[in-house]
Amino acid sequence: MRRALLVCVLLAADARATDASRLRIAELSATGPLASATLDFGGAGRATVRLDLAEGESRSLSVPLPTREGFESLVPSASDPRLRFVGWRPDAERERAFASLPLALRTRSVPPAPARSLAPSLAALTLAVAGALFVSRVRTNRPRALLVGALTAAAVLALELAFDAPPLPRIVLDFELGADGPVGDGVRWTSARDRLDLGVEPPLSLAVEPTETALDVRIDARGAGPVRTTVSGRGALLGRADAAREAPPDRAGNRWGDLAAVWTRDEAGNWTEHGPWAFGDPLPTARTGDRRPPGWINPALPQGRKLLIGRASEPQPGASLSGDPAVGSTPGVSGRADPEVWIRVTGP
Amino acid sequence: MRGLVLACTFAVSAASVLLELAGSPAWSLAPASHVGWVALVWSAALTFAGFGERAWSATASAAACLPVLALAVGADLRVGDAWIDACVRALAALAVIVAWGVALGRCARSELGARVGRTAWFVLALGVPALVAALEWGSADEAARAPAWLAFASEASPVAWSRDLAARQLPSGWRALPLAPLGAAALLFAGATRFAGATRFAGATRFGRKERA
Repeated sequence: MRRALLVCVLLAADARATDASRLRIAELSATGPLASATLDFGGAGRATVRLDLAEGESRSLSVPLPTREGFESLVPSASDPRLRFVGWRPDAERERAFASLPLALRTRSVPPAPARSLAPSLAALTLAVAGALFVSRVRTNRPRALLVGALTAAAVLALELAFDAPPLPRIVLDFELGADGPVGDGVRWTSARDRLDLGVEPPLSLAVEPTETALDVRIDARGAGPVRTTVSGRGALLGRADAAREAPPDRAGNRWGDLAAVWTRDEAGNWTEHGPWAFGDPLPTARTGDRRPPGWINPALPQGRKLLIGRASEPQPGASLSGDPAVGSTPGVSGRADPEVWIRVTGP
Repeated sequence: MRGLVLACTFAVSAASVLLELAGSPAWSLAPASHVGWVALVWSAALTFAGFGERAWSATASAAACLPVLALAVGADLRVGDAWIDACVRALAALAVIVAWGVALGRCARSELGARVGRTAWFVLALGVPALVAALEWGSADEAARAPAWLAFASEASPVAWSRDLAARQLPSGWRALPLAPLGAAALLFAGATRFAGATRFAGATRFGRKERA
């Protein structure tokens, strides 16, 4: 009994650790003239603020800044004394909103981001082959061969960087269904590797794996519009968690949006593929054969319960139906590339 | 290097980047270093250098290697490597390939030098790393390590250094720099220069004696 209690306490402690967001809202005060300044948060990372303050102007900002367990009391050093860190702002509303999400959902690990393509562009590839052929033509003249090789390499690298696509985010909507319907709001995970555009709305929580990654937060506060934030962590998986307030699909009827593919799991752990599921329709009949969903989406999901996993047909399903502006804007997605959207429903 | 060998080297070294076009994790080299793979292939191709082939000098070979090295740097950057790390690795790899290419080319200028160059290449660059690998990988004890002196000698091999670079097993900081392979190449170059001078002197002496006779 004592051992079971100890396990429960440890699990609860672990859940709290998972809850810890790597971003907290802080107050900054800036005095012009100021175009850019950096705040150093030690092992937690750093934040670069871009402004366009003229002489005599001043501005107060409430922005998400990096933090980490063990660095909470650290007062950041500023690269320019005209940018002042006023202090962390108690954000009870945001913390309450996150704490109100079902514990089973908010303590899940961040869904992995899609693998980034490492393939070179066709232009760079063609140029590399052409450069090598040209080197072979002038090989007897060593300086010329070296010059051709170096110029080709520089051009290839420039093309590689020019055609480098930003990391594609992935959205996973997690819902918990009880006997009487949804158990609280769902969790909208937006995950990306290396870099995540947070847009103008800070997340309820930002999870980072590995947890010790130093974050590089870029805050664009130029102009009169809202402040935009981008967070980067080299080689890290970044996952923002927000509340998903739309109605999840249940087996009686799809009130969420068109799904390109749907899989269900029964209590015994048997998977069934159902194919596309249109909005408003009941769950399609099972397809034959043992076809499972991709492995990344169902690790560590609770055993002995029903599951429904679906892949949305379009990048923004439900955006026009929910009337929630947060759904339409899709925080975490810069708009340059359409993220893939998945849905996971546990229960009833 | 012969043209066909060079074409094959180019194709094989570019293969790691080309395989990424398949888009399958099973065909991806990541998280290994693409720059390391290119260095490994071009180092291995140095086996063909120093055999009297004049069509491709070490400089021209390095020039042909540069475009594919740039492709590899691009792939490593997409994996998430820092700019400075990827560029330093590429320059270090290029330095190793050029240094050993030049040293083996110099060895090929005299008969004695060519013998010494081939022997040094097969023993130091290929043999010792192979022996270390056999001792460590083939041992029944998984924690077994090769003797320290053998491991130290293996560090001078451009192939072993490139392999460690590809596998991202190099130590951090300045110790990742290929000081041992570059030092070994410099020693080989100095020795080859001396052998070439001695051969010229011996040839001139023999010629002089014949003239007198």
